[in-house]
Amino acid sequence: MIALVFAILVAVLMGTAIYLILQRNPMRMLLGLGLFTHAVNMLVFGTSVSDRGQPPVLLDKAAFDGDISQFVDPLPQALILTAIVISFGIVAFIIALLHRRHTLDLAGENCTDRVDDPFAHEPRSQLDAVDEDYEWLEDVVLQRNVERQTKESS
Amino acid sequence: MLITLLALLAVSAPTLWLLKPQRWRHAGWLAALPPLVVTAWLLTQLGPVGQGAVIREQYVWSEAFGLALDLRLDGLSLFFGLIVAGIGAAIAVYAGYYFEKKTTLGYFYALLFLFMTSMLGLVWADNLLALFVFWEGTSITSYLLISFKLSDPKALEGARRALIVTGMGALAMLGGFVLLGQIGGSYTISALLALPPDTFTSHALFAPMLILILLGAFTKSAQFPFHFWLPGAMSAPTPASAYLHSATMVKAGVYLLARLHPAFAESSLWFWTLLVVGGVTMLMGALIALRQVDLKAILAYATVSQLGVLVMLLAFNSQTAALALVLGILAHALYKGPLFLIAGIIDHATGTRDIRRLAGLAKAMPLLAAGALLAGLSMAGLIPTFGFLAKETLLEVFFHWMESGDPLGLVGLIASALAGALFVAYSLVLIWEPFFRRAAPQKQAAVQHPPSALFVLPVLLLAGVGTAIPFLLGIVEQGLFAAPASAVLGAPVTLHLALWHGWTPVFLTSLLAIGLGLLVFWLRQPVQAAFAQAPDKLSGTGIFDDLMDNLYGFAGSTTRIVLGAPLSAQVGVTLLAAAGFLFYSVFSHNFMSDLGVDWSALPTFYEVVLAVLAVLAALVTVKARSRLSAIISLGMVGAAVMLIYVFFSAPDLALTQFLIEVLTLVLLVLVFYRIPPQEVQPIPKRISFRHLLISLIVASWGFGMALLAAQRPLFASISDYFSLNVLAAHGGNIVNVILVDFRAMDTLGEISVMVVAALGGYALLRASRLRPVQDPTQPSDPAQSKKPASKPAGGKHG
Repeated sequence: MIALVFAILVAVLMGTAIYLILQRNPMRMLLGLGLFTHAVNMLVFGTSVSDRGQPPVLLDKAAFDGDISQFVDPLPQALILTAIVISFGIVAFIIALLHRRHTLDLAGENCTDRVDDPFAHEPRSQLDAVDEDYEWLEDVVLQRNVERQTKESS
Repeated sequence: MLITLLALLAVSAPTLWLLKPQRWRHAGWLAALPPLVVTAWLLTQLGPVGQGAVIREQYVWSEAFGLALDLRLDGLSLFFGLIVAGIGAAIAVYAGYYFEKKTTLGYFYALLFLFMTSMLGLVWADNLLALFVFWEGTSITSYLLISFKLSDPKALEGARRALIVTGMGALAMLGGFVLLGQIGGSYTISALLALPPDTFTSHALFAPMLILILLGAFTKSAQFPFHFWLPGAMSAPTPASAYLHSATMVKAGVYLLARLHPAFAESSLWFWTLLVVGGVTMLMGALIALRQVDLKAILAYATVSQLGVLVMLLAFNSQTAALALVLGILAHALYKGPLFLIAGIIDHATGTRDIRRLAGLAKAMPLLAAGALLAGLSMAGLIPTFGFLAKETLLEVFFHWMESGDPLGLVGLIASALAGALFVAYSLVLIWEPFFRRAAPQKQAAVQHPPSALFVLPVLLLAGVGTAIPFLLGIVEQGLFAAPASAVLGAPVTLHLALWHGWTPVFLTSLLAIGLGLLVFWLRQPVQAAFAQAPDKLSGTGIFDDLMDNLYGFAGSTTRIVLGAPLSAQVGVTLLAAAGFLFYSVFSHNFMSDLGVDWSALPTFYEVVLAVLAVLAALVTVKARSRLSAIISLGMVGAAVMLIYVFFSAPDLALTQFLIEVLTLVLLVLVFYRIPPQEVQPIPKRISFRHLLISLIVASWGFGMALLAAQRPLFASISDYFSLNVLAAHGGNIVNVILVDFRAMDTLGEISVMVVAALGGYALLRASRLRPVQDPTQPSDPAQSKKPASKPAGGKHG
């Protein structure tokens, strides 16, 4: 039954994570990414929960006689340990990205991000026509354009 | 010695560039020294190699991979080497005067000598892979020489076309080489040729191998339907056109075919492909040349035609054909080279290459006219020129074929005679119209800048050598003709060449062709007018350009499909694909009954509570209205997960998770304290529903995956090895030992990821302290440009 509990937990975490990742708001995407990390970690951890045992630590090295059946499986733990750290690195980097975008927004319309946009030569209208659900970066640009126009007219 | 000569030429390339040869008027003579040294050495080898001697050199590069630079000088390599080095010397002299103190001369010499090195390496290489490398070297230098005039878009286009066509062909050829190496068990050409020919011809992969190699040879030697890049290559400086695109590089394909001839010539696929492709190219090139008015374009199409002749000759497996090939190559190099150089001098002197504007140049440039006469008569194949000798032998091949009773021989004979007639026609056009006729049909160009005698000297030398050879046959025929012909045939060739054979049927055919050529020359105006009507659309260039445009369009639309969609759509497609894959594997067998899950293991009450807590917190994260509550509920999920680690004996994980959870929380709160909540357009209902569906599918994917992962292990886990050997790593904590010892490289990778993330994050935070750059495309409005000053960049407090 433990497996079932973990399966439900993984399912809910994954579902909520994906739903958040598909949102427009970058903040919610970030939260989704955090949930997805938990989901995947639980998935990997679920492989080792059926057999309960001691933490995989030799308290007395001299007395170790090769009996490893007392320990839980150490491999998923090693994998997850790496995963936790790396996911934190990604979350921190995305937070820095969001911060950078915010400062650019504040700086106003006169700046360019100096990022090579492969579709820079495409008219915007064409891009909009592809899908009404354009990503949030597009929204920012549009918003910026509207602001500029209102400023110019005033 | 061979490697020394290659090195000499390779070193000359940058040296000449650095010497700034444009400072001296007669720099060309200095530049001609290295190729002259090579020519002189090769001439000394004519005797021994003519007797059958072979010079071999081997420089092992990577023994384990069987890679070595094998060089081998036999009759055929010597023959091509002489053409490359000898004409190269003449071109070097000519270029010195052609560029006339222009600063680009040094760059031209650098490319020319790099090309010469590659080309000599190509004909001397005895290893298929080495040959391929040199082959690509010639393609690249050719590309750079065609696009020499960077300001000319047509030159760039022609260069790109040439590079793509020959590059694709070379790629196919490399595939063919690998197959050939696999079939023959060696990449050494001489070793492959020593095998009995039916090793190849009876092999199952013979046809694909041959076709791939032929693609390389045909693209390089501008055979139909790949011929179109060669006229486009005429934007190169004239010395380069004369050298690369007429005398040497375009014959690389012919060289390759001649080199492999002994191994493949017995196959009928080889015979028919070469015969048909070569024949079509011969006739088509000769016909298209009629409608050209640019001197260089006429010569380019005539070159295409001649290359067709050479390929056609390679189809045959006879002594006469091999001899006709060798004669054809040398004769062509010795008349087409000078004719190109003459076109360049005319261009230099009058400022135009349009034949409709040229007339009566013989008066102003008598030496040049003499050169044109010598080379042009050889091209026409009039007795007693070298061209005549080559054409006689060519006709003889078809005559023999006809005599053997095959009616196709007659077709070949007529086609060759027809091409010969057309050759006569434009040779006469090229001699008569610019040099001797009284008045030009269009605004006549005057000679503003007559060439010095030294400028014309290379032309006269090349044409003179061509003229002299038929009279020195007794001296040169063994080394210069018999030895390469034997290499092509793979068997010793004995020959007795003579200009005059008497009134043979071949000679009569030749006379007939000359008569027909005179007729075409006489009627050239109506013929040209008729040809000018022919549609232009069918040219290979148009088809190729359409193809390339469509390719770019396809790449663009693919990119737009793959990368142009919104992020959510892209993520959704990726996730659905992953889920679909798993569903397939799950439902392909009986899921519930085959699942080896241990259902008896029961969770404790607290564990269930924790799981429920995590589930609720995750749902709250989705529904949360304020950012702070979302962050806190995410923290709740993290806390629950951490406690689960504690309950299931994973203390390290719990510690790490706790630490990271706190750090994330602090970071999120710290940053979002500064960034105001963002108003984004709400997602339409329809799309929101789609997202929900995707989430549910991925959730069930996770559910199934978790159950699958919880099965009893299907195969032995490596965990036990780690646990049992933990003491060997001097640690007590098995998880730690795995991370820092057994899987230390993974941890190193993890650290690298963290370092990159930290550097990136630092750079992003630093960047926001800087003032944003002004957009140069915006008009500088004083009211606007003041604004950033009055409202400092937001990053100031970042």
